[in-house]
Amino acid sequence: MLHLENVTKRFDSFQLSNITFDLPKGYIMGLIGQNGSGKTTLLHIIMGLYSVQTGTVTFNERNAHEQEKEVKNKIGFVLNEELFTKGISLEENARLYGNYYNSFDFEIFEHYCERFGLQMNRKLKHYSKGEKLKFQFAFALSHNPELLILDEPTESFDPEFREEFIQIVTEFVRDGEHSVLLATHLTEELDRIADYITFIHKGNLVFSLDKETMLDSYRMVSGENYKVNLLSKEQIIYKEKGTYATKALVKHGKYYHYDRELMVSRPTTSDIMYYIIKGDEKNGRNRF
Amino acid sequence: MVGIVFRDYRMHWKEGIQSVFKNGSWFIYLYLMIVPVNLFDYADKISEVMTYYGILFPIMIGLLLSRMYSNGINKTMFLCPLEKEERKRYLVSAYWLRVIVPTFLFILIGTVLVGTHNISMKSFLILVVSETMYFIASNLYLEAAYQKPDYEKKHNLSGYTFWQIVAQIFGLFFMVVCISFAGDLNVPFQSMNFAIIFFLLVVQFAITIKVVLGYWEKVMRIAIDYEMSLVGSGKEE
Repeated sequence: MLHLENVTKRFDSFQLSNITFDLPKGYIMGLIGQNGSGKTTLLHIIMGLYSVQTGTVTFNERNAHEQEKEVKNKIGFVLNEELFTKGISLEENARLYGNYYNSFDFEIFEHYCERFGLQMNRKLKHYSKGEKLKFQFAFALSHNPELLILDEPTESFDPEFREEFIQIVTEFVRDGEHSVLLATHLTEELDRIADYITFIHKGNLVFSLDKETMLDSYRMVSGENYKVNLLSKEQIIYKEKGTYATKALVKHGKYYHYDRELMVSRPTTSDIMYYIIKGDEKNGRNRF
Repeated sequence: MVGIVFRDYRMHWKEGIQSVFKNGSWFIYLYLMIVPVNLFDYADKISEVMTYYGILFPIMIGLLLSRMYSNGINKTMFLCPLEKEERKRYLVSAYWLRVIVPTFLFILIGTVLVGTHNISMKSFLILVVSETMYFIASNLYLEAAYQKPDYEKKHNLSGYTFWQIVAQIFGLFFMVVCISFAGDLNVPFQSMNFAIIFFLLVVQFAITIKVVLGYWEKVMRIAIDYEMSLVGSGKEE
């Protein structure tokens, strides 16, 4: 469905380099990385807001920048910022911007507003940040998109709505025809719903893997410091020495064996992100 | 497309007003004061004061529109499914709407003033030509160019702000000269004064041509591009 090939974008003080990944139909991809790593820039490129220096963005075999109208018609967006027109009601906003979409369905919009507890005749400026994002979400779902691009929306949602959000997103991809690209640094959600994880650090692609492969590629190892040190340096991504034990994220393979006195477990997405970033900070080079 | 622009402008008028103050374009309101201060020195009839306000009002509206809705598209609209060509058509329609509305208003008020013998037909025609040129130049306003110091250099717009300011100051200057020479706009211009005014009109025409030919394509190219029009050259995240 969505394919990025060697996408590079340079700014004065930042560069997004050679980003390549595939998001197939029917799957949820989590886009992770620190603040400033380039997640939003990458989403802006996919949504056609930024051009690219090199590379291509393809959506359903269409070049996202050359055929932007067709592509944008099929992309719903929720961005963690002020969008739409604040001084008018949700209904007026929906009619104003919904007009540009081929298949905007006002009844679906009404349905989601009701479901999310939003009053359609109330002005957007009177809503809280979380509610504004709910409105964006309702709007995004109302023009029958094939791909939802969600940029860190869940941080502003209350826990109850976060659950509903996860439920809707999961339902959205269930028919195998729709996909979701969710940028976040709240990785617990991704552990629950993501099928693919794409990790960007300082504008570089660390990996883009299906979640199981990613989790199988690393192990958390903990135990006495000297036991951890017996592991090959190339295998250790980063280790943290604690008072009683040392914890390390290590590369893992099918035939890797560990000392019996070490505790070995599958890492979470958060562990992988944290240790890789720390490893990069310490070593000053990417050892992904 | 004009209908869409009109609807968008109707929905965004409050934000437009806010941006006038936010971007320091409140100077527009000084127009209300500049001429009348001079006027009250010699105006002994209320109808004359009203005539000048009648002339001033469409100019103010024109300038206000150019600042409320500069050549740009908001981010939500950039995210909507529109081709670059459609965005350009939208911007061009919006531009002409902002030129035509105050010009039409000027013609409407001017016609009434001519009908009531408050201004002569010659003064009216001169002012229509001058003010239309004024609206044409001032509506090529690009907010980012005024707000960001290195914007012109980065986007090949050298001299843009300078010529915008020249066009606006000259437009106002021309009107003040007209009023000063005519005294009462209903009295025919003296031949010497008319020659000066005609010369100034030619200068204003040259300035307008310079602004339009020099910057129209560039302003439109920037305005249809999110990266150039809203972001400039920074990085958002």
